[in-house]
Amino acid sequence: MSRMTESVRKVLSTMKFDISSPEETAALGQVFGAASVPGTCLVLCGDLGAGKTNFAKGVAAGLGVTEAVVSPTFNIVQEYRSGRLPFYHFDLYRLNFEDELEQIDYYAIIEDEGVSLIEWGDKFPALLPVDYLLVTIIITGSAARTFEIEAHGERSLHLLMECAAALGGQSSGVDA
Amino acid sequence: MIILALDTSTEQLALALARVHDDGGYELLATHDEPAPRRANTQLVPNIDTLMASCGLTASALDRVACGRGPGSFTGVRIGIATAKGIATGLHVPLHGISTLDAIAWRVHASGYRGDFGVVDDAMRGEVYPVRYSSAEKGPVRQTVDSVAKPDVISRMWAEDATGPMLVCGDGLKKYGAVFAAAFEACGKADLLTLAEDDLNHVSGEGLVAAFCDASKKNMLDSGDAGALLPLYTRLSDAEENERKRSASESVPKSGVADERAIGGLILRPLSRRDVPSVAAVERAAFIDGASGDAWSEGMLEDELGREDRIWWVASEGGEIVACCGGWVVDGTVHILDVAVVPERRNEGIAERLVRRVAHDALDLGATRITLEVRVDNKAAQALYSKLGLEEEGIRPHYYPGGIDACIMSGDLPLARSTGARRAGAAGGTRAAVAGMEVRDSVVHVDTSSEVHPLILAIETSCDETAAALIDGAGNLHSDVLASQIDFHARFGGVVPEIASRKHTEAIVGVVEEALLVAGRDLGNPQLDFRDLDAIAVTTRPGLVGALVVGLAFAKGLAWVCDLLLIEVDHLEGHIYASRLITPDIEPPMIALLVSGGHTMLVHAKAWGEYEILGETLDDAVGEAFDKVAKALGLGYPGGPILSKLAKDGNPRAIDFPRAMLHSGDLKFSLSGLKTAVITYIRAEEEAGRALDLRDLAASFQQAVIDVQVAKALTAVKQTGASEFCLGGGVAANPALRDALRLKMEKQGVRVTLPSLSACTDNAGMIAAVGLARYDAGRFSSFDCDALAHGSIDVAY
Repeated sequence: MSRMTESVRKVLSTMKFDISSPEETAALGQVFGAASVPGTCLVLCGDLGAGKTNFAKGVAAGLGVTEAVVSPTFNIVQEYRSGRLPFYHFDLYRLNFEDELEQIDYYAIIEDEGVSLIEWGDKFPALLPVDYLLVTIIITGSAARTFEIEAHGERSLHLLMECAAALGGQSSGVDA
Repeated sequence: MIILALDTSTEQLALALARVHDDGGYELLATHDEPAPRRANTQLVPNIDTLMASCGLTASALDRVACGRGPGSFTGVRIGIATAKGIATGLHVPLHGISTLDAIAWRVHASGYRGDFGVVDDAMRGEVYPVRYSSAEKGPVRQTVDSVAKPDVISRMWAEDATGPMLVCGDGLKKYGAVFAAAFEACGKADLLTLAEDDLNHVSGEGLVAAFCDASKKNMLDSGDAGALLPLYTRLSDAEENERKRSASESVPKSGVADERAIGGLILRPLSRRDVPSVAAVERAAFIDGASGDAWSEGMLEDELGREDRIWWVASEGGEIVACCGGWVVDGTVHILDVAVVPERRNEGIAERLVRRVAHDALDLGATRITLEVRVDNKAAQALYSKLGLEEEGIRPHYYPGGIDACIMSGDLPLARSTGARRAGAAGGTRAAVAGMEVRDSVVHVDTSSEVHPLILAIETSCDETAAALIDGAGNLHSDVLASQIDFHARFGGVVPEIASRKHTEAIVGVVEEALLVAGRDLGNPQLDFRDLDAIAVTTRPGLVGALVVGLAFAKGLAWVCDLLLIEVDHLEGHIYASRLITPDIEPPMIALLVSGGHTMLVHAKAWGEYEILGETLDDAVGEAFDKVAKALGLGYPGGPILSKLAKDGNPRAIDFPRAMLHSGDLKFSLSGLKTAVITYIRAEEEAGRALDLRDLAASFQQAVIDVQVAKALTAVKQTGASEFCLGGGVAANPALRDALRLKMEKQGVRVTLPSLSACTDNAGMIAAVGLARYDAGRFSSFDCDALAHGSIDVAY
């Protein structure tokens, strides 16, 4: 984070959302998908089975994507064009070398006018764009999850605030 | 002289057509600059075509091509360079590389700015490509060499150095403008800094032309050899960089091939910390005769490791190091520090191979020159360096112990190629000889009448083989040329996509020209030219996208300039058509089992061009499983041939590995569980201190694979009632799989077509066969077609 300027650092903030079922995970994703703007980037981290793909499906639904959302593990990126914005679903789990991303046009895509969702993006912090939402999913019970969502950059902060407002009382607190 | 200038190394598509006068002045005929993020491959050739047409010119009017070589996006710059190579190769005109940053600098100059400025282009991954210039009336003068740097570091350096007004421009400002502003403010020099307005931040067609003319006037253009032009990367591939870091630390063992177990001869690889004692011994042995002062000690060698500007390679055979070579990149020049070969391995060309590797890495790191000192009495070494294109520059008196003088030799990078046959009529320079290139003897004559149109050139770059072939309308294959990159991937235990793309860019011109030359001879027409052809067929799917676009961009450039039709080919359809080159009367319906490092698939060919995928692997491909098991055993790469050789003498029933999905009731495959079972078994045996019987292990693993493949293939044949079966892909070379399939299929009355062993590897002959069929069916593509990572063979294209 050393590259961030003071002004950006000041506005960093985190929100937490407690979830008790997979359906709620998808619903949470849907709120973020509906609020996404061109260039929105969501970085997902969490253990296997935490619900990353489920959240991604929610985001796609919120964008109005009608195609079936499948895990992009073997393709690294899966692209959906049927929503109101292009939706790019990345899974960096099988990535060996960072420059493989260059070959799939990753850098151009995440700066494109679409919405990007990156699973296992935390494995390669240097690859993240300047402005993104870091979504950490913590397993708190068999179906219970805590979503910790941290805004990096002004655009993402704005999006986070908007989603929190849309979710009303569901947020368990803001620690700025 | 009319020149076409193009650049796709950033998100900007920059084009210009200009008339360059003898005095170095130029007149712009037309330019076209537009942002085209992710669209370079689809937009470049259509835009060139429009640009030329707008001036009422055809491609043949071009006298030269100038191409931006970055630094920029690796894939982007390769698309521009490969297209430019296609154009220059087709026209036999020189192709020159221009620094993209210089082109921006000329744009700044043209805007009227005079004084100091810096260009920073976005290098992604939190880095930029910075170059500093000063601008006088005559034009911008470059102050620094190409490099890659962190924005906070470079901005601080520029701020500290600034003594007067400074303009900063480039597309890196979009992300890092604030970083530069903050750095100048921190130095109390905020008033000196100007951040450029948007249009000065991008490369333009006119800037390219101006930079070309400037280099031409100063006699600083490169040789113009289209085969030799390479992108400016400024860094090694990540695989190589990680390897460097690993090699510098003692604790972590290197991955990939263990020298001791590797099958085959001499291995070249970067120096690692564990090698230091043996390399020091090589040094002592190499410099024994009165030159012991030249020998590098252990301490000196250790100090070299992990330094970013040092490049050290060793040659090893049977676990023993026999030679080493080191270089130091300073300000765009690589200084060869040391070349040492043990006395008993001299005159085998080992030194040349090592120097070439060091020079190649240096090129990737941004070096443009090579220099070294050699003892005046060492004539053999001087002869080698002359062959590489180095020239004597002077004498350094009493440089060596004993008062021996040193001869200083220097030259340009890339090094001169090894001598290859010269193709008459091609533009200046020798025809590029390509590492690992072979002209395959798989030339097939099904019809002896000579030269039947259409003549179709096929190009294949979907994975790690650069290949080209030429077929005629009767299906005669007149040439089949292939450059394998296997040497460059082997030590990583698999194909490294970035390395594959780099090697295709290096090899494409040499391979395609060779295919034309060989075909011309075979046709009794040594003057055969690209213009005499009718179409170019090129693999566009599936495969590594970064690799595919190199072949595709080249094919587009060549097809456009020679007015040839363009045909897209699915690589997997190529493997199916390969069967027709073996069994000319083979006819669908047939079942094809496609097994390689990237695919494991049963296809029902209902008719030529009409396919249904019956089942695929859910995870790893068969070849991938072989590679991973071989890698776990430290046996080298590719794993298939090594394991099948071991398996020949092993007991296939020694270890009971799982047959995944054998009874799944469908035609899907899963290899990942088997691979895990084998690796778990290896670990358990090693932990228990038991010696592995590699032959039994290999045989048992191979049998587990084959049982499932054969069973599913049989089911596919029964389900569809097909009477023909063919096998394709790299794993089709596995003798046990071939035998098992032949036995079981023939028992069912099914005719089996197995590719010849040499046709199992990816090749362009099979792409040519599909190309001919698609030509006959009139399936042509326009120049805006794109490469696809995951085409689906069952969808018509």
